[in-house]
Amino acid sequence: MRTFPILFTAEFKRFWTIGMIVFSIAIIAVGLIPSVVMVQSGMVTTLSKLIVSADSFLSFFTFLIFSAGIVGADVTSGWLRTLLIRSITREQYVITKILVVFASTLIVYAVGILIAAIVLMSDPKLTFTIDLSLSAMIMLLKCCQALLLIILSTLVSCLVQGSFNSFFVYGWMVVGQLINFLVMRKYWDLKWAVVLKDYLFPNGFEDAQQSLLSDMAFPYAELLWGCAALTIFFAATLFAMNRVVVDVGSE
Amino acid sequence: MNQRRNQEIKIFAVIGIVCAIAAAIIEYYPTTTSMQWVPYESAFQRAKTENKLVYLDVYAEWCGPCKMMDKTTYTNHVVTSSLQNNFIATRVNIDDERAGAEVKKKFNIVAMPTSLLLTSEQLEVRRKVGYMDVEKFIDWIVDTTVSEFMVWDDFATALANAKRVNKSLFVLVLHDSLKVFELQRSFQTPVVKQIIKDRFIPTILFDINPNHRKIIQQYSLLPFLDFIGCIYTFSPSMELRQTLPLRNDDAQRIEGMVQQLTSESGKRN
Repeated sequence: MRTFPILFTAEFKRFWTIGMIVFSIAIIAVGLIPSVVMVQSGMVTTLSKLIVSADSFLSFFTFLIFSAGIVGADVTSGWLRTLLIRSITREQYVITKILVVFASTLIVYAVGILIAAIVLMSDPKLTFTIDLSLSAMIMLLKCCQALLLIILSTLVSCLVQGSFNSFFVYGWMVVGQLINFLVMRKYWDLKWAVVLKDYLFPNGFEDAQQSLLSDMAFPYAELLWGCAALTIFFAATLFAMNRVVVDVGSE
Repeated sequence: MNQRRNQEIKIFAVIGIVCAIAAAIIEYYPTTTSMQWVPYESAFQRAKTENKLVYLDVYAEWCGPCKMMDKTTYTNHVVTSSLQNNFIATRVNIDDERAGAEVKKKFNIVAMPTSLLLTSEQLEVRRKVGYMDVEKFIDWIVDTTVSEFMVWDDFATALANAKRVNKSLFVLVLHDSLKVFELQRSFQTPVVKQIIKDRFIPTILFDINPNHRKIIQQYSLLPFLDFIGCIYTFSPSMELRQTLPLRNDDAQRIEGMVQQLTSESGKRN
């Protein structure tokens, strides 16, 4: 039971290299500019919308870099072998890796939003309101979506070595969005196309956010789709992790 | 050790499958509403008899926002009683081979759900594309401030009146029905209303209406490329006086355009 905190601390320290700290500061600085501009131009007037706009700029690069080679890089470098020789199981390792990337993403995200909110609230000319309950709900859904993306990235990383995994997940996501756009513009009346487009990428938590922000009914179905994707892909990740070939002798 | 690992995987997989099944049931389980929909085939005839507008809901069984409107909006008693008492409420499933195809073509449906308010002559009064919750729906349905074109006579009556009172005929031809709502607002400003009342007998023709299209072809009021419509003025003897094409963003400039019509008409006289 004591293995988790020790492993988490070790992996967390390993993760936050000087390069990663510099990168995160740069991402927060660059990512905040569009959000602040959007608030100043009146496009974003509430905290919930600020979270959404900040996420679109911050999470893109954060997730892409943070989860690159999450497992694959450790297999190549021999770090995974070093860990598994000790009394650490594959599940403990993979869960810790997911949690480290998730916690790091949250830190960058929270710092970014906090700075943006302070900057914007200190300007008395701007009309910026804090809708706490909706913001909390949106933030929770953003966290769930981030966790899902990290799990997907980990799953791919168990299957391929190196840092290709996060690019693969992004490619999958972008292709899904392009097809979604095409269907909505051109084939909106094709039943199979409209139904199929919802299953191209696990977007349940994102869809739930959209429903909440557009004042639609409470998105039970979307939330359940999100939870289904989260647990099924997590199971698949555990399964894939157990099949990662590492020469550890008597593991 | 391996058995325990497999058991954990199975537990997560089962939870995921249960969630997916529950989501599918919520999403695809057919919903029932208390709304009494009039069959599309008889809706316009009933609208004529009862002198009401037709509310047309274009939907599909597989359209998420349509199902959400069924669950939330069309189950609200204020919405249902408003629709049933004040309108002839009808709906068409886009998958319906006959009515669906007809509605899609006739009313230029480009997304779902589409809510339309139509006259008994099948002229579009107002359109809303997308989901509306109860509050938005009630705001939309009770907004009677933009029914300007409804009080205009049909073409034949307007022509007869123009001849009778010796006024110019003002014909607004629309090729893009999506702009009707915006245009109606522009035509409702006091200046535009006064000018039209004083100088013209107005009428409107929609390109999507087959009867109107015959008149459009008869008088060669054909569409200009990249324009949403056109304003024509005719003398009571149907001589063409002025032609003013309407661009996509001309709804905000209607007042100036109508004033231009009267000044040119003044010069001519």
